[in-house]
Amino acid sequence: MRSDRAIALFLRLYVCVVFCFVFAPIAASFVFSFNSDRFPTIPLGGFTLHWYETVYNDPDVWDALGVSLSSALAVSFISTFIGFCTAYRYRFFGKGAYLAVALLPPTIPLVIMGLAMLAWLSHVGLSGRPISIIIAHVVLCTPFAMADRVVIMSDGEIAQTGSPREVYRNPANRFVAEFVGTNNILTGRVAGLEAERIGIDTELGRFRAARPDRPRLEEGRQITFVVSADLVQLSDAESALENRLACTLISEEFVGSMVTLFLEAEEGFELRVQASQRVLERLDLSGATTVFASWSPEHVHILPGD
Amino acid sequence: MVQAARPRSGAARRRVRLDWYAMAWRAPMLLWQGLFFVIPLAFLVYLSFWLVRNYRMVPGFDAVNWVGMYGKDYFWDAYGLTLGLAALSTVVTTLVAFPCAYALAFKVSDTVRRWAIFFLIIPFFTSYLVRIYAWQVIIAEHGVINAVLAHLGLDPFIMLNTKFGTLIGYLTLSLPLVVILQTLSLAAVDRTLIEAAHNLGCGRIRTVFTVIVPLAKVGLIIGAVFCFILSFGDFVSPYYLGGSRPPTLSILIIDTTKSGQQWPKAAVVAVTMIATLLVVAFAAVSAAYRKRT
Repeated sequence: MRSDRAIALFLRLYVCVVFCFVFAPIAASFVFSFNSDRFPTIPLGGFTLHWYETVYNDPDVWDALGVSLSSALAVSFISTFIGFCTAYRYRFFGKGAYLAVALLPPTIPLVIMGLAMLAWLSHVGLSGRPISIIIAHVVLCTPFAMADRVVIMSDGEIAQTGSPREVYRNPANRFVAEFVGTNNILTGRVAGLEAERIGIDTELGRFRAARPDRPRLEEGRQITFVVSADLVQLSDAESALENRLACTLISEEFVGSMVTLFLEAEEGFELRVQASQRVLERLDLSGATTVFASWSPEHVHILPGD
Repeated sequence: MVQAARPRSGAARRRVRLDWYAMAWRAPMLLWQGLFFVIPLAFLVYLSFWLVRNYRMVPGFDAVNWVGMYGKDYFWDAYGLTLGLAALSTVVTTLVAFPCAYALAFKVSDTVRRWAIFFLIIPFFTSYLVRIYAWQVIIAEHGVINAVLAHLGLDPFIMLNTKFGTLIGYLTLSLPLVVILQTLSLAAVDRTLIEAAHNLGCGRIRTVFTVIVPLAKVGLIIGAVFCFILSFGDFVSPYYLGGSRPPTLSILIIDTTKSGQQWPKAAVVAVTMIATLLVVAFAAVSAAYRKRT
């Protein structure tokens, strides 16, 4: 495939050209900073550190640096704080307008923002001071500081990032699955690959799961999967879902709106189920009665990271 | 859990219950952006109805600035020029960025892609104004490029103070961002669909235009919208690389404020620009998310 390599080579060269364009002005200012001529002209004069010395000895530059650093520090703290506060946004009246106000500032041209802020801040007597710089920059920086993702770290490494729902429903690996929510973690081997479904052979029998896009599965491969405790149904044998386990109740833990039940299946496997009081009242959980814990194949999440 | 707890039925939602805890979290952003973003913009709209008497602004409510500005040919010339340049910049930047983003998304390893994106972020750490000054030196009549051309025995190519110069500035401003946005959206395209297209005998070019581009449509359009917004409102490039004549709308704003306190007239230009940007942005974003029929 000679044409393949030619195209790959062309694309690589093209990327280099684009990067040259992006870095040309940065490189040029760097080169001219060592140029002995007062004005940047071609051909270059000699190499000098004169301009660096001049700037270093200019007290105005140090003052300006102080203003820049203190403003930047203040802006970072304030916008991060405001952005962090915006993380609390479930559905509420006026959410669209709330998000518009939060996200629109970068789309307004700087000249216009400058015009509007100068007009307003001088109207209320806040213009021409370091505080005005901070006020204006917080407006522009807050949209970039808005929190909308959760990062789970394990031993100093990022285990998963994503929206709360993504992390909760699709944990990336065993660590996240144990850390977030109440998950039942099982391991087994792939058996019976179909287009939409797979079978998983475990010590407790065969379970069925919806076939995931990733990881790529082949017969016999060992996989770990989780079933969230709040997706398990408790019922008698007739109305149980496709994946079922006969269990007996060991203990229960009251957690407010939910009760976490600890059930024991064959082989001493402990299963955790979360259910509401209303559901539990319909069941007979006294003593050694067998109850069926079951879940649908769609609610099986195969961990991509293990 | 909280998701399940929120009211779902219409009746429950109509009963407004004040959630002080949630309001406390929302308040900082609303207060700050309300006081220093929404109110200044509203004030700008109000300002466009003020009057200027003896070089002093007088509060009022008169449409004279709107009628005056919209009646001037130079305003519409500047509007047409700005719109045209921004559209040209959007097309050029999108086309220049695409092969680069394509290569970074499909032809290199994850590590190389991460480094490339890191390097594309570096320009944002440097001052845009300083980069434009550097371009002045590079593209000037006796600048770096023409020195090379002269060395090769070619005539100088005039770039500074032309629309070509302005375009170089716009590219400097938006190319890194557009490449990043395009790369991220192309990298998210499902590889199995591309393999399927190849297996079914779809050619390389056709795969790009019938499979990859439609799948990455949202990201490509968002990139183009950002490029349009940045180019449409920028005043540094047309001023320092384009020679500021004829003026774009942003230069017109600066000229108008400088000449005899004509802030209300500048506000008219500014409000018109914001309206134009909102229309373009909403049209493009709704086109991006429209389901294909």
